[in-house]
Amino acid sequence: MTGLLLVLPFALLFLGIPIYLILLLTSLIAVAFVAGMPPTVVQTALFGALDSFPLLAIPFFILAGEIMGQGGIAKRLVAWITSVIGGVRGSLPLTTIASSEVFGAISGSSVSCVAAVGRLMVPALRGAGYGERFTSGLIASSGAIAVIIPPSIPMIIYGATAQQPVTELFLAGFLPGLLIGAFGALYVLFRERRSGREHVRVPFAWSSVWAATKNASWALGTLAVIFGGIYGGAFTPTEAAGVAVVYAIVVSCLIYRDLDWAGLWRICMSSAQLTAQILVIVAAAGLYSWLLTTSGLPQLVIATIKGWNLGAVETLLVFNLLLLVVGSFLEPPAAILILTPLFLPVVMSFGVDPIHFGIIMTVNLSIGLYTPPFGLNLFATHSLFHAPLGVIYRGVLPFLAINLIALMVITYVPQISLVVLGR
Amino acid sequence: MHVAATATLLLAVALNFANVVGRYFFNAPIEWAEEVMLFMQVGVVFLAAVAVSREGRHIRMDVAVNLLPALPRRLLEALAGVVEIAVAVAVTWLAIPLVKQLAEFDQRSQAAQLPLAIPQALVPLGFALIAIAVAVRLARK
Repeated sequence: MTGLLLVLPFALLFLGIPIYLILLLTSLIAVAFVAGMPPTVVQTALFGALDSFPLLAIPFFILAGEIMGQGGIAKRLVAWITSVIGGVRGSLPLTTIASSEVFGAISGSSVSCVAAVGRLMVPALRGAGYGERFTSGLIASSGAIAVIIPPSIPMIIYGATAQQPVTELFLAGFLPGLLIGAFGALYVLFRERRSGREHVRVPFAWSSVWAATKNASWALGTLAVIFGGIYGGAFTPTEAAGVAVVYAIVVSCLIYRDLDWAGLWRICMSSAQLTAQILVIVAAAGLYSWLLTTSGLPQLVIATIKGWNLGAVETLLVFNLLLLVVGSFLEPPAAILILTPLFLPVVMSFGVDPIHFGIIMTVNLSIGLYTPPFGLNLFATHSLFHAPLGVIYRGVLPFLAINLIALMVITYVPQISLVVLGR
Repeated sequence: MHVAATATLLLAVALNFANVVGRYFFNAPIEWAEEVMLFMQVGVVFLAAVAVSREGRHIRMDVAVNLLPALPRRLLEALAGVVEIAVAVAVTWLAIPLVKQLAEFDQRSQAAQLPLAIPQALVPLGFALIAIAVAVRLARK
């Protein structure tokens, strides 16, 4: 039973069968041929997986992110960052990383971030003579920061699966997100020093910072709406995401007037599809995960790992490696739904904080988003900016290496995640 | 279906906003808002999934498949379509008795007192339409 549930999906994956179908087909076969699996579970689990209020934040954040990316909010945020750090060495790649941090704070989706920041920064980077390999690697990897900086779709799903408060996960994600950005920035600075290139510099002036801040004030207000609303106690993360949609529509269509109503409708249509693409996998993974849990796999995993007599350090290392492999095949939502029930009891028996483990999973799976050959950000970069996949693969390698170091630091220094919560 | 899903998504945004404004400014939250928004979410996902299936745009790993020559690739695409139809029919078939049961016993949701059969029926409805959409897509090729 367990063998069937694990081997069949892998074979189907390589045949190019959509992921939600693989999870459904495997589950249906288990229900049909394994005794004790009630057929009613198919309907109840598919419906039940989506009948969760925290998950409702996902369609809202997707919609808000798409509107902000295309409606002029992202553009003004990047202009604001350029006015602040445009004068330093390597300003364009640094602006790309910083923009991903800020865009990540108003959106929870990595592909939205690649599209929004990439559309603005790729032409500038190319124009300044940065190579295709570096540019595409930078864009594909920086986009992953968006899921670590709150709000974050993977953290919402982890919170729902592990029954942890999403507000605490969001707080815990801030410092790890900044740390990863800082590691990327150090690499950029090191590279710039060695290359000795001519620099694109926008001279720093308080007057231009002031002008850009004024111009971006409505865009920056998004941050106040989301975080002020959540941590001021006005609303839950899901409600904040919904309010952010209304705010983004008002700012983009009525204040900036960068978006007309036809354009807004087009964005809503594509966001509905994007929502379905992600949440249909979540629904199917909910069913699959229920069957895995019922088949006794969690107990088996716990017993096996206990049998190895590993300590907390080694166990976390093993889980990180497994997550990296799984994360490069599966989207974070599916990976979290399937693996959290297997891994969380084991690490908790070692005294690992469940919030900290949520951050480890999120950071780890965010790396999977641009790990060759299957990461979603790689395909997004490929289809948006027409860089050949082989070039992107080589471009992300240095970023992959530094982010793996950051992952180790975040895994073994729990304080980075937990200090904000006062633990 | 795509239009219906998009309209439902926007309705959920509006309902959420009305609920937050009502609670915060008028101290009058909409008691049934959360429950109905979740039903709407189920609708958005399974109805928009029909549009995604029709266009064959579900997330999948197609790198290995794209390396193949045209003929085996098209055979695999057809296989994926057949699997999609079979799975969608099976899920619909398993879901219908449950939805019927809910309707017969007239089970209502807790807050809105809506017949539970309505939101639950969105799952088999979506999958039945997915089966049709994929069949049409395959027939055209």
